Amino acid sequence: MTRDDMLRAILRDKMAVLGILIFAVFIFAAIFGSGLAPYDPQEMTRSASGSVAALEPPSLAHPFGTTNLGRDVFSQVLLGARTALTIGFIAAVVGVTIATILGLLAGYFGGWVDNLVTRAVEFSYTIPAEPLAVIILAVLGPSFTTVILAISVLAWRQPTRVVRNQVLTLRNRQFLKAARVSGASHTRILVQHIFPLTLPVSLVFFPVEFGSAIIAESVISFLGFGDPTSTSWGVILRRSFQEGALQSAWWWTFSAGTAITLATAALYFSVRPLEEVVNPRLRSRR
Amino acid sequence: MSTGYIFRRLLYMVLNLLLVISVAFFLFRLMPGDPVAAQVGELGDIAVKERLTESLGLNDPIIVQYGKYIGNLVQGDFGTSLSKQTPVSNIIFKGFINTGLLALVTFLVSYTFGSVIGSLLAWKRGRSVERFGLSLALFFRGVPTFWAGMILVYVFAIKLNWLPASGMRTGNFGETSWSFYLSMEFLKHLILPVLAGTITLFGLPLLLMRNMMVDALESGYIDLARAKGLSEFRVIFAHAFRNALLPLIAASTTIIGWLLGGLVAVEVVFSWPGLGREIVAAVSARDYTVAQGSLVLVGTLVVLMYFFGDLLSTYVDPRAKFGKARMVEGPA
Repeated sequence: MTRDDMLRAILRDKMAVLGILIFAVFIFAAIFGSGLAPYDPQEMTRSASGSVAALEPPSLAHPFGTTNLGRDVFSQVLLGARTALTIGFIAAVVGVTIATILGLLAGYFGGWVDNLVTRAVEFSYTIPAEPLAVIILAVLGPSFTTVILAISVLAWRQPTRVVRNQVLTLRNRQFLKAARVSGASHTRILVQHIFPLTLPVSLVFFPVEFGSAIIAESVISFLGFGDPTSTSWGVILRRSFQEGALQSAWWWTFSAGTAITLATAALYFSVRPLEEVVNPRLRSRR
Repeated sequence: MSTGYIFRRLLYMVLNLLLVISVAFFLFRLMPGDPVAAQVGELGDIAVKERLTESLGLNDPIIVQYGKYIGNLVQGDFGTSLSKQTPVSNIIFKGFINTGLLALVTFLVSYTFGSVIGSLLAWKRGRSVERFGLSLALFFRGVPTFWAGMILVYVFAIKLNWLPASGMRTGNFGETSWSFYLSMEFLKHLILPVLAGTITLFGLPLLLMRNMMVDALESGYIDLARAKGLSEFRVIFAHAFRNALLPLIAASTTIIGWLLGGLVAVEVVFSWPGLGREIVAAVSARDYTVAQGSLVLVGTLVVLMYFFGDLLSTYVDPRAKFGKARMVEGPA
């Protein structure tokens, strides 16, 4: 599948286009959110009579309602987009990059390199993911960087395997032998000849890992191990849960979770038509 | 399956186990904060602190501690909880049973539901119902499990008042015997957390099943079955379904492994007295023996499960390569 084919496949699929449009809204919110937010997310807003506007249901002044301390949920969700998208993006870049490098090396060199990488992937699945992320954050202390690190640890496993398998199918092809015979180095073959052919696989995995990273961030923050200085969807849900908002203020819980779901689902939808890149068996039969 | 092959897998399994234990052991040694101070208090009596440090063996060189830890583990001794002064094994086994039951039931429900719907969608291939079903499954994979739990609590426990919102039993006391796990009381408490897990998980077997069925339905033996004049029902369920099931079985160990560690936030939402909640509490309390033990317990089980799962799927389908199941990942 060439790049043009991939683009065309995406544009033909209505759900994929919808996904991209929805995600574009989130990107917009992430970039301009702080300017668009009607209130400071920590501000104790007051009603016309001067009392604190605590636990107010959605209204024109507060589209997503307010928290128990009179904070505007809409502003918090808007700013949460930046945290979720930045952390998700970086974690996905780190994860998929590592996966591509490991997959290329394992598939191309085979032997003990392949064995080592395969065993590493296998091992990474034996330690339960969420507890591991929590423990890593307890050891390193919660911050923007450590949260990304803890999530990246989860994001490399699946693409590594798929990239490796993709390389295996290419390894014995004529043009690679020709390149080898004409004196190309391993590095040159890997970078110039094989990498461009595995790139589609990595590109398809990027949104998938991006989405999973957004969910992982929300789980970590919900459990209280996230970056304490940032406004995040997981933190909003944590506060709302601790304050018993399910009993008294559904809007507080509702909006942040919807944001996570929409952003993640939009990412998953955007690459749905490219499933066959990852799953070649479906290719001829479409 | 040759003996050499099984032996090699056995060796990898032991190596994996050792790695799990080592990671669990050394990670917690890196944790900031003094575990003794966390129990006695920063201003506690120095003599008391020293006695505790000595009795925990924390004065030994780290390698000696590591050796002792492994030696004790082999004998089933997970150490003593720092914060509760009870054997770690008591705490984590109790939590593990509750987590394991939750994971197992969630797995069964989502797998049954997902694979049946998935094969129906494959059968309706190309129609709008297929597109709608696949989109819905993909959408639900974007829902964070714990948030699904919160919404379920809001709807079914608070608004409708049909089901309990938290815990494993009404009133939260009483002896937990085996028969309790079969009581209506327990089952009622189980419904919402299982549903929460199912909402995000059923999409995976569904998509897997649908892809496998699409593949199977276009094979020659299906044409033959149809040519023989078998009913469409028999063609789908007796022929295509059975063959498509193999990869699904292969993937199941991964899913259960994921579930054992992936329901932490759900346990928190539902105050489910499971291992995940225990780990989070132990990490926060710097009770590293409990956290370490939990990680080792889950890790060991997952390693064992992968080993037998792999053996089984190679036995059932000799074409399957080892570790092939690990192609599939649960939702983050």
